[in-house]
Amino acid sequence: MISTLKGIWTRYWGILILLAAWQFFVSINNINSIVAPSPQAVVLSLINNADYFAGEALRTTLTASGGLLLGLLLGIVIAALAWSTPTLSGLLMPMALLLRSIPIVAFVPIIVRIAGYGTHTVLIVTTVLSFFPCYVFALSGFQEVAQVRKDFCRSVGCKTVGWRFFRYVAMPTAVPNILTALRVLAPTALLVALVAEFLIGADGLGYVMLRARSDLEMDKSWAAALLASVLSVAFFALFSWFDKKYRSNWQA
Amino acid sequence: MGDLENCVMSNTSHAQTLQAVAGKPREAESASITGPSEIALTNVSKTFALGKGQTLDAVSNVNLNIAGGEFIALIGASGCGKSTLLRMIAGLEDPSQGSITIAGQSPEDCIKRQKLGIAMQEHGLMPWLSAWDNVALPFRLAGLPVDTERVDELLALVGLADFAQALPKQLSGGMKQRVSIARALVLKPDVLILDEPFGALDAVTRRLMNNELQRIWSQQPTTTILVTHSVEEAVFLADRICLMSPRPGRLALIEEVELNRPRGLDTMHEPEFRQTLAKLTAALDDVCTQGSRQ
Repeated sequence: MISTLKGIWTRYWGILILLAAWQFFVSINNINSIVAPSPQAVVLSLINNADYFAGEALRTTLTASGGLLLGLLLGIVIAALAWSTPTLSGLLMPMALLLRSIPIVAFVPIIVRIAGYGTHTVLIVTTVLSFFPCYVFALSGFQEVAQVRKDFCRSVGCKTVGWRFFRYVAMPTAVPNILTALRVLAPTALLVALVAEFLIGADGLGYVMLRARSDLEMDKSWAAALLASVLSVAFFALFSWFDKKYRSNWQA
Repeated sequence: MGDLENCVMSNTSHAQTLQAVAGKPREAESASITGPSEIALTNVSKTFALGKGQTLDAVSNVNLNIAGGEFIALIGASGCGKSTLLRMIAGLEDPSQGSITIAGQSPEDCIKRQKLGIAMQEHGLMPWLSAWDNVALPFRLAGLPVDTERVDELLALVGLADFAQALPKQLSGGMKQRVSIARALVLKPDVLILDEPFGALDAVTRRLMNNELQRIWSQQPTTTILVTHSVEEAVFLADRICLMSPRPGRLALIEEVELNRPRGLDTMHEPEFRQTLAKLTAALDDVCTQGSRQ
């Protein structure tokens, strides 16, 4: 127990110093809480509105996970199509690239006009932005089958383009790449969902920040931001753990 | 060079070979099932384009008849074209000239009927599959129902029954090669192609693996072609040894190994073994130094 605490201290003491400095700075200068709330006020706001924050955080988490999952599935399916038909890949890559290059602040209002105001639009935005990296990672994974494995497949009469090769060799080969995509994308997906909520005004932590700010409840706004960063880090940690756990099974 | 040419030309000794080995019980046995897995190479050449009009003659004018059930070893210096020749026999590469037939058919047809098994220096196992699933994979890739008894049998044959559920990363180098050989044999191929399967192993493990391979092969009589750098390995395993000269790769010498089967680790102490080894080593050195003088 003590050693665990010591471990946390040695690894994260920077954050504690930061918090202490923040509290110290705000108290010493007597800064108005509308400008910058103290860490104490933020934590108190979190505790006092625990149910409210938990509900909104859950909503954002679910939308982000849903969008990530849909983007991943879509990315894998489209990458599989591109893998099986090179002509299709020539069509898909520029389209995917174009979709990815639109800035989110420009993209969201367009989607909102088409799809309407609501959580489903947040889901769409998260899906679209998760799709591209998943597509790229999955496609390069499918194409990474080592020559010696291809030779082996051909030697048992299995062509290196068909479904059986995809199912038993190309698809599993891409797993480490897909794990990487998930690890990199998970925190981003959460933040994208947050920004979309903020811009659209759909329920979730993004909307909490939007409303708290207009009500000048800065402690609440900061609490939402703090919660979002914690969730984002937790997402990253979760998928890193997942990645670490399974990646080693892909080393021969 | 004239002598070498002569040697190749005179080696239409396919019929002689069959006669010579007819006296040995194992060969007689395999001769009865052989017809189908006879291999004939006629004037086989392979030229690679290197770009800017340059070409490399990797294999030049190889003629060779391999009897069904025969164990052939291809030896020669690095880059002498033995792996290219092997890849052509395995249908992974097309000859630029000449023809290769396996039981009267093209290597491609042979592959389509799952009559060919290969094991390479890089084992090429799927790291995400257990040893058992790796051995079962050829069934799945060929779209056949998995014969679980056959998979169990093969794992037992290579002595890995207790490691069926182990992932490749949990196996030693020698064990991985054994899985790879089991995988090559699981569909009961008529032809087994081995490209330096033990090349990455240490000397002791390698000798033990050769002994294992010899045992496995005698239980699953298959026409086998082995590419190796090791003359010792070739003499220990093969019925006939083909020595290739480098650039362009030609058959410089074909030597029969007159060692009785079954062979064991003590075979290596027999004078016959020593003599053949010495003779071939000298021939290999000779061919390689000639190549470098050109």
